[in-house]
Amino acid sequence: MEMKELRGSRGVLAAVALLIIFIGVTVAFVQLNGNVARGISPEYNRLAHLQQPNSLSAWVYDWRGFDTLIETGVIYVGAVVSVLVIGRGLVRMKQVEGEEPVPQTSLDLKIGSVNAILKYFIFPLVILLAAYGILIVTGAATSGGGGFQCGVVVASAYLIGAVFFGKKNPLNFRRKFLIAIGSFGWALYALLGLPGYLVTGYWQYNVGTDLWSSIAGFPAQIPSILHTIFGDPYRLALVLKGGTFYSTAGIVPLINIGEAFNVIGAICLIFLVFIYGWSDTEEAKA
Amino acid sequence: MIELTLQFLSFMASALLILIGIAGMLFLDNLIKKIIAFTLLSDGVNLALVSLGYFEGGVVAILTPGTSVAEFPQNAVLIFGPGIVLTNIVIGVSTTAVLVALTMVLYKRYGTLKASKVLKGERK
Repeated sequence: MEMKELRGSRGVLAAVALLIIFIGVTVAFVQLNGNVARGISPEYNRLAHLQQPNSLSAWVYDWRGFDTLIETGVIYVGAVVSVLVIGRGLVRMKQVEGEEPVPQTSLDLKIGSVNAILKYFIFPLVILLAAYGILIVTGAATSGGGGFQCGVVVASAYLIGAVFFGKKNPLNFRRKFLIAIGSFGWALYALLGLPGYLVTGYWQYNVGTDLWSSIAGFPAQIPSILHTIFGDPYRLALVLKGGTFYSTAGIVPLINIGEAFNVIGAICLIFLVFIYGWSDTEEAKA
Repeated sequence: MIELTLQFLSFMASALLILIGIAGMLFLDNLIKKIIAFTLLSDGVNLALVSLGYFEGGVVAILTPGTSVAEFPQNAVLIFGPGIVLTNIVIGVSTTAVLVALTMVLYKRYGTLKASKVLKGERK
């Protein structure tokens, strides 16, 4: 809709509609203000010293671990759809079926215009960003980061490298490699739910930490071998007011690594297809 | 009487962002501007979700050395808001990527980013 079409009665109607929406949203927020139930949050905060210092990460992968698995698939679907729309032009409207597919041309990146000195500054930045991404995912159980944050940081490093170095990108990911690590990450996340499912019937149950099996009515006891495999490698000594606690994040660090691979694959694939397109000749040139 | 707490002000800011986003998506003609309006709408929702978990005097929900185990559950902010925001960011990234990809295809086909001309089917 063009702005000139909003003059007169249509403009008045639009303003009234927006006002109604604004009032509805504002009234909802005013009612929420100060009236939010604490829900499950205090329970996870109460158990944080037994599980992992980062309660948010515990909540995301434990209480809604299955949701997060599906959400991890969503970003991969987003990448695949972007590739389909841009790269091959497969999505075509019905009325233009007879027309030629969308032309396959890559975006114009004027690499030559970038100052050579700037490139010397950017090269260590790309390497440092990639290293920072790895640092985030390896410390996800104790810090505020996680697999998604790692993936975004590494993808940023890839994008900066692509903009400044073009085909000589220090992080020269090829599309087959990106597809492979994206799929591997999602598969790793999904398969880490298997031990919990086989023992308890709950997919994504954290068999390493095993917070809930002591509760009456829980379907099964976790074998000690699973505690040893998934729990002990990530055990931390937390020195807190109240004593020293030996917590373990269980399968969460591994899930974070899986999600990091998935997000690196998906977001770098999106960047790659926006920059280079998807035709076979472009890949050969790159 | 409504108290002007940080949570309330944050809610109002998110309501404003949501309104700007909806208005932009409905009334702006340029497809890129529509996508920017969509991200503003998404940011407004994210801000509202983060604000849900806030309360006066709350601390970040990460155990640091020396934290009192007994006091932490009541002092830490509610974690469901930021947890849902993680989901929303992922969905937002995926949706924006697809929208930008579709916009690029439309531009190549019609030679314009004006939604009104694209809807009329005016080719370049």
